Formats: sequence, structure tokens, C-alpha cells
Amino acid sequence: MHYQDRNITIAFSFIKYGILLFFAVVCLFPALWILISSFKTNQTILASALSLPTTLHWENYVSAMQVTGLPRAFLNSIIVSTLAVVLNAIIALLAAYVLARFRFRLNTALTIMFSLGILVPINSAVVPIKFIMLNLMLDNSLIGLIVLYAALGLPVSILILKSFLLSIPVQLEEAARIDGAGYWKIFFAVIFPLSQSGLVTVMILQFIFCWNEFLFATLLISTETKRTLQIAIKFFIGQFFFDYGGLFAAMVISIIPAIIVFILFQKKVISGLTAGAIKG
Amino acid sequence: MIPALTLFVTFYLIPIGGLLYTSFFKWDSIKMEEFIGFANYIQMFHDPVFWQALRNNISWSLIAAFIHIPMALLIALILNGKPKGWKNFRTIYFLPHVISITAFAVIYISVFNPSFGLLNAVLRVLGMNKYSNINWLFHPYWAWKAIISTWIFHIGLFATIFLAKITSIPIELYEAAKIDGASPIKQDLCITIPLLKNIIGVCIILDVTGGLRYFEGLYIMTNGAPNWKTETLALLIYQQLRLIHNSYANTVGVALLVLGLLVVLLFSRLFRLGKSEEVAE
Repeated sequence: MHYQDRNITIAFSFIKYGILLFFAVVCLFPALWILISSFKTNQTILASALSLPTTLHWENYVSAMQVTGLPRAFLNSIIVSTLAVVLNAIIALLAAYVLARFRFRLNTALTIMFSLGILVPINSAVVPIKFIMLNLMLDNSLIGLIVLYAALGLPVSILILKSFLLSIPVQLEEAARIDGAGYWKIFFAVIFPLSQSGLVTVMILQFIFCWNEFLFATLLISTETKRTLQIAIKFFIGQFFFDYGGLFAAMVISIIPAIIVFILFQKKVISGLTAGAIKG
Repeated sequence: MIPALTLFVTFYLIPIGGLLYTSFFKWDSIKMEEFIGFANYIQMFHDPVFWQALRNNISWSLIAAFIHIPMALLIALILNGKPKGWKNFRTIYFLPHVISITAFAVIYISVFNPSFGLLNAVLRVLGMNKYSNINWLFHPYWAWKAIISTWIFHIGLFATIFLAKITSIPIELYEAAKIDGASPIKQDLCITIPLLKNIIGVCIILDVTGGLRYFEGLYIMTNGAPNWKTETLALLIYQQLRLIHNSYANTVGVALLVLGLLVVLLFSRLFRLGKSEEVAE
């Protein structure tokens, strides 16, 4: 009896680790394979997919940086993501403050509206959005992309910040009010410093969204020098048609910033993404 | 509040309103032409590509709800037992969610490449030569399955959500069950899963609506080929837009919107999630 129990336990942990390892391999292996292959010459990539590089061929990275508009696209992506994230966070905090602290008739209705905003497949409206951007003279402009990204990320940011603000005690604001501080004074002197941790979560979340966004970028940007990294990647496929080493190197370069953000702020990213999801 | 509302109205409400409105017009050039009633809808219901796209969207949704989420739950339950290295596993499972779908699309184009791809190389090593020459992404039978396989194993996000929820279940419940002699598996089935019901519903809704939004991977990998086998509504909208069939693109957009709302309604009913406000908490 005792023996049988132990055998079952051992069998179970085998199965458990088997499942865990299987998922780890399928999640990690393709990206790892690209990373390894980016150091191989084109011939070895084509000849033997599973071989390891004998020497590290950095020239793939050199050609990735030279041949394409990669540095330019990289810069555009950084500009767009950073500014959109800041704009989004400021506007979302202002709105979340109102929703979290003031009771008024439309409060619940607005909260439901923002929740629905997360769920609605907004890419069904690509045509109207394209025409709105044309009318606002924001078509084919990085500023347009910044405004659009800030807007599209609002529902998630507002809901995260709202629940964050609800978890902060009201007493501090009341004390400030008694001391005679007005609305804006309270917002900048009390709310803003207190919600920094929530803001960081929201900003990381939005950075990953903006950095990786593709559909609206390809919809709105037509000039080559204005391409963000994700659209540039699509053109790499054509440019590097026979140079897979270069293509893989370009992929690695494009993936690394998001991975760095993830590894540096892993706790924040995970809590942010899960919070964002649960709030949805 | 005002800037948030302005942006929300400009980029959510007006586009969706415009979508509904223009789907009743003929609009194949810069200017909208004439009111044509339901003609766009009739065209859509006679379009075999639309039906194929809808079928694929539904197939994706069912797989997300009944395979993807249960797998994420299973992983969360295993990780909750805190086996050795569980934090590393969690990090690894999470990584795919940080990498852009665009980059993944290029990666999977290479993985599925018939001559130098990773998959066929592995199959050759395993001696499965019957399968090792298939052009996975453009094979009429395998294409859609290959597309599904590019996301089905990325369970990190939902597993992490479940894991966070499981941790918040009071430990007393398990201690009581242990005293009553319930095995760990029985504890999972009778305590954990019932208590997770709400969050499972929310995750299914998120996963399915996320799937309806999915575009760039398909656009880069196959763009609907072979023979519309990998077409989806999101893809069809974009293709029609590029052909300047604006009003038809918007009509398909309405279909996608309706499908999204149906999914939300259906699963919140099924899991008795209450009002969407409760979802928001």
C-alpha cells in the first residue's frame, strides 16, 4: 500500500514536469532558434536547420543595421511609444481620478462604457478611423499615431488607475482640502505622487502595446522614413528575401527592447498585464 | 475627464457609429455615393469568402474557449503546487506575450518553411519522413492548424491570471478538505475550480475577443492563402479596405462587431457574470 502510494506520487510528478517542460519548449524554442540562427551564415541556415554556429557571425547584425531602414524605424518606434505612453498615462489618470473620487450620475455608465471599450474589436472600424485621421490631417504622421495609440489604450489604463486610486485612502486628500488646496493642487500635490506605482504599471503595459502595434501603423503610415519597427519588419521579409541571417538578426534587434523592459520590470509587467486583464 | 472623453468619442464611438451608418451606402471611391439599404449585407451573405472567414473565426473562438483556457488552467494548477523552478517556468511561459506578433509571424514563417524550417528538421530527426516535406502554412489541410499552433501554446498570460486568483483563495478551505481526506486532485476539482468560475469566464471572454482582433500574424504569414483557408473577418476587412471597397469593409466590420458582442453576451450568461460592471471589478 505504502509503496503504491509512492509510485503514484512519482508518476504524477513525472507527468507534471513533462507537461511543464513541453510548454516551456514550445514557448521558447522558436525564438531561441531564431537567436541561434542569427549567428549562422546563410548557407548553414539553409543546409542544416538544427546545427549550432561554429563561430559567431556578427556580420548578420551589421547587414541588418545597414541594408534596411532599421535604425530609423527603431527610433520612430521609440519616439511614438514613449510619447503615446506619457500622453495616455496623464489623460487616463485625470479621468480615473474623477471616476474614483466623485459621485455623479454618469459615473457607472462611463465605467461600463470604458470596460466595453476593452472588449470591442476596434479593428472592425479601420475605415472610419482612417477617414477621421485624414480629416484631422493626422494621416501619415507620427503625431497621429501617438494620439491614436494614447486613445486606444485609454480604457485599460483608466480602469487600472481607477481601481488603484480606490485602494488609496481618501484622508490625505481631505486633509489637503481642509488646508485649502483646490482641485488641481490636490491632483498634482497628492494624487499624482501617490499613484506613481499604478502609473508605472500602466506605462509599461502601454509601452509593450505601442511597441508591438501593427495594424494601425500600417494603415496610417505610408512614408518609408516614418515607418515604425513593426511595419519595417514586414518589409524586411521582402528585402532579405535570400538573406535569412540578416532577417533573423533584424528580428532579434526588434524583439530585444520589449524583452529588456520585461526582464527589468518583470513583476510590474506581470501584475500590470494580469490586473489589466482582470479589470477588463 | 474631458480629454479622455474627447479621445474616447473620437476613436471609439464615432468610428463605430460611422461603421454602422456607412454600411448602408455605396462607397467605392473617395466620396460616399448613395444610400443602398441592405445591399452590402446581401452581398456579404452571398460572399463565400465571408463565410469561410466567419467559420475560421468561430473555430478559433471555440479552440480558445475549450482548449486554450483549460490548458492555461491546468498549468496554473501545476504551478500552484510550487514545484521546483516554478517561477522560471512562469517567466518562460510569459515571454511570448512580450514579443510582438509581427516578429512571431516572421519566426513562424521560418519555423514552417518546407526546406530549412525548424519543424521539418525536427520531424526528419524523429524519422517522420512522411511529414517532413510539407509546406505547412500553405497546405490546404494543414494551413489553419499551423496558424492555430502559433498561439495555442502561449498560455502564460492566462495561467498567471489564474495563479494570482488561486493564491487569494483562503488556505483554511484546503486544510478542512485535507482533514476530510481529500486528495490534492480532488481539492483542485472541488475547491479551486468552482471558486475560479468567474475568472475563467472573464478569461474566456478576453481570449476570444482577443482572437477576433488578431490580424497581423495572419496578414504576414498567409494573408488568407491557400484558397481563403486561413481567412478571418479582421483580415477580410483590411483586404477590402485596400481594394477601396470602403462600405463593404465596414459591413464586414459590423459583422465582426456583432460577433464580438455575441461572444461577450454568451459567455457572461454562461458563467453568470452579471453586469459588465462586475466584470470590471
